[in-house]
Amino acid sequence: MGTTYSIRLFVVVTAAGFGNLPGVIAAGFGMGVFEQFGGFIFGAQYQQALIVLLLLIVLAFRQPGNLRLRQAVQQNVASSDRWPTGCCCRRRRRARTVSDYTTQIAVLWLMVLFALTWDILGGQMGYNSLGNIFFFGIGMYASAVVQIGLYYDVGMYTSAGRTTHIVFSHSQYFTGLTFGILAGSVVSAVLGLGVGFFVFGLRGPYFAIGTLGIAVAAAELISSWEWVGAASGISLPVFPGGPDTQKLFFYFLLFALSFVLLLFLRWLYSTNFGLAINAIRDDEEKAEGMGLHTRRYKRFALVIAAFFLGLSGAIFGNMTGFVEPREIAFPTTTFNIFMVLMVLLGGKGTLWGPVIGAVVFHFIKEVTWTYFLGWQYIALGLLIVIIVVYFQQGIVGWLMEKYPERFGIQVAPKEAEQPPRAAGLAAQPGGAE
Amino acid sequence: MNAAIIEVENVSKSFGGVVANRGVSLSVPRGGITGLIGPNGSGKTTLFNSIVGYHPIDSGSIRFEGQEISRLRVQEIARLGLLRTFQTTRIYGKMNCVQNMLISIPHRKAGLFDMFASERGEVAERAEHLLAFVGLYEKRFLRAGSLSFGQQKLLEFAMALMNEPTVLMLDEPTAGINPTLINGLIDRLKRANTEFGITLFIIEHNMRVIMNMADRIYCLAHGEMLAAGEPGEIQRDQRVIDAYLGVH
Repeated sequence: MGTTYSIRLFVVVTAAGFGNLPGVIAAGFGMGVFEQFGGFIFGAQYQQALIVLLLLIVLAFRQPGNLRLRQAVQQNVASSDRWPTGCCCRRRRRARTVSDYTTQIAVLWLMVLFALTWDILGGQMGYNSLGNIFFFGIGMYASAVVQIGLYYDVGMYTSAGRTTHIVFSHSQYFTGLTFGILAGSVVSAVLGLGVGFFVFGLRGPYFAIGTLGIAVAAAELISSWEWVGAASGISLPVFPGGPDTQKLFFYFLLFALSFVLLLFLRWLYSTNFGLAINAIRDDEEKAEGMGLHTRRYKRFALVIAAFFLGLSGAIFGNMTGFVEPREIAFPTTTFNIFMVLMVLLGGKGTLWGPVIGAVVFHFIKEVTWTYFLGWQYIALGLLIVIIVVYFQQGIVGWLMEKYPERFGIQVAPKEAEQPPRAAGLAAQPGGAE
Repeated sequence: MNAAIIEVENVSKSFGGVVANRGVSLSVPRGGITGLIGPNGSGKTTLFNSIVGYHPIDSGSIRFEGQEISRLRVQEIARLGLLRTFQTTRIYGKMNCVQNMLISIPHRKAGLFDMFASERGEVAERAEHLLAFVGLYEKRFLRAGSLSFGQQKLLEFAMALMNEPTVLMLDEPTAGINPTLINGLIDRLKRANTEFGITLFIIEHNMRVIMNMADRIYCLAHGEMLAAGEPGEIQRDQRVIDAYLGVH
């Protein structure tokens, strides 16, 4: 996996110190030894997870903040943008749904959900996370485990699932689905709280890499966890109605969820919460200096994003009917990057930007997948470069710059306004009297 | 003179081999205006940072209203009512002035559910009053980042007032501000002191400003306390003249 190699590279270089050639060689050697012995002691299947653990240790104890670091991270991100894997599942689904608009647009709603949840941290709070997919996958797996665990032993189910077909009754399916979706969102939110305790010690590029590390670690751990089917995944209970009803059902769920999320965020951004996370984005140190409970706000923001991602993961897992760690639950190089891209394209830090970004992005993606099959990732890569280099403010951001008045942004002071009793300070609270 | 509200005793702080503060002691009386002067690199800003908790001190004690604060974190100290402004102005650049003010409300009593409060009536009114007080009322819906440097300083001052601090520590409030605006600022600082009852503790290089405002002045040099006293005494103190003021 390209991501894990990028992470290895990052660990070695960060641990050694930038521009320190002998250090890098020593760290690289040390890392190889660590990996071999680590794999030997803990079992080869945990080797990948160990690398990520090492990454987190390095991040926690060594944080040199300089320009060269930023370049390193850019290279790191750029190399993970090359989509080394992750295309086969997309292609498979593509072939199945060429003219299937219900699924097509259901995926669009999922994209809207992705973009909106990413924007809470990435746009409004200024914390660029590359690990949001973690919560999506966790929601998916938590839901799957609950749906099955309510009626069968999960370990037996996953090992038997490859040979026998297990049927769920109508009521079993819907009870399981309800509790599964609930569990998906709650487990995800709780883990969001836990992750928040750890990652918010990191800032800037370290935050991005640290969160990516968590997502990659989760994918690796679940790939080696037999109880949940390891790398071969879990087949979820089959929807009791026909495939068409199933499509409509999940289409509606995703649509409703993205609509609810949009309304929820519109309200949220109008409260103190919105102001506070914007303040953290603009100058976190100042916010701390003013006594703002910055940690509390940051953790809550992550929990909210995790909750909705868990919810959408649980729904999407049931929509595809099959859950697997690397390409469906934790696709770090596809969905995970799409989130960032959609928000950048639409305009980060705005309410509608992510929605517009998701629609435009989904359109472009589907067109390239249909008409330039085989070249789609090159087209996507080009899109990334264009957005990141030339169009960072995004569609809505650009419109805001061009027509600020339409968005209620004032650029010049209004004339001849009377301040409210300009000198009337006697009534000030906190006054001397 | 009233009782001391900030008491700094024997505070030392060094960065690697550089000793920024060595055994500094001072006290800021409640309700007054206290000045801190000294040549560049004499450790004034380090002392400020130590008091508000930006970095741990090596030894000594710092008390605020009798409570030891040298081990508290920045946010906790700010919530006690001890606030500082920055030498290089810091405002929330992408938000407009009113939003900057709204998020600067005192957070000392903020509970979990206040995170999601959107009741703004009184708070918004107060924000507008204070913006009018510093003369930014007409620009209140402009992005803070688009204001000039001097206006940003005024905004930062208004934000600090919005926080209803007991003590406000200002790091060079008049640096980079034009002479006419300086007069207005002095006037407003004095009014913040008399009308709002806020104790001020000010680092300043502009001697006219600080001599005019402060009741008591401390002078640091090479990280050590050189002299302390009333403005007149300080101006005549030979050590201060040698180290800092020079001969006029």
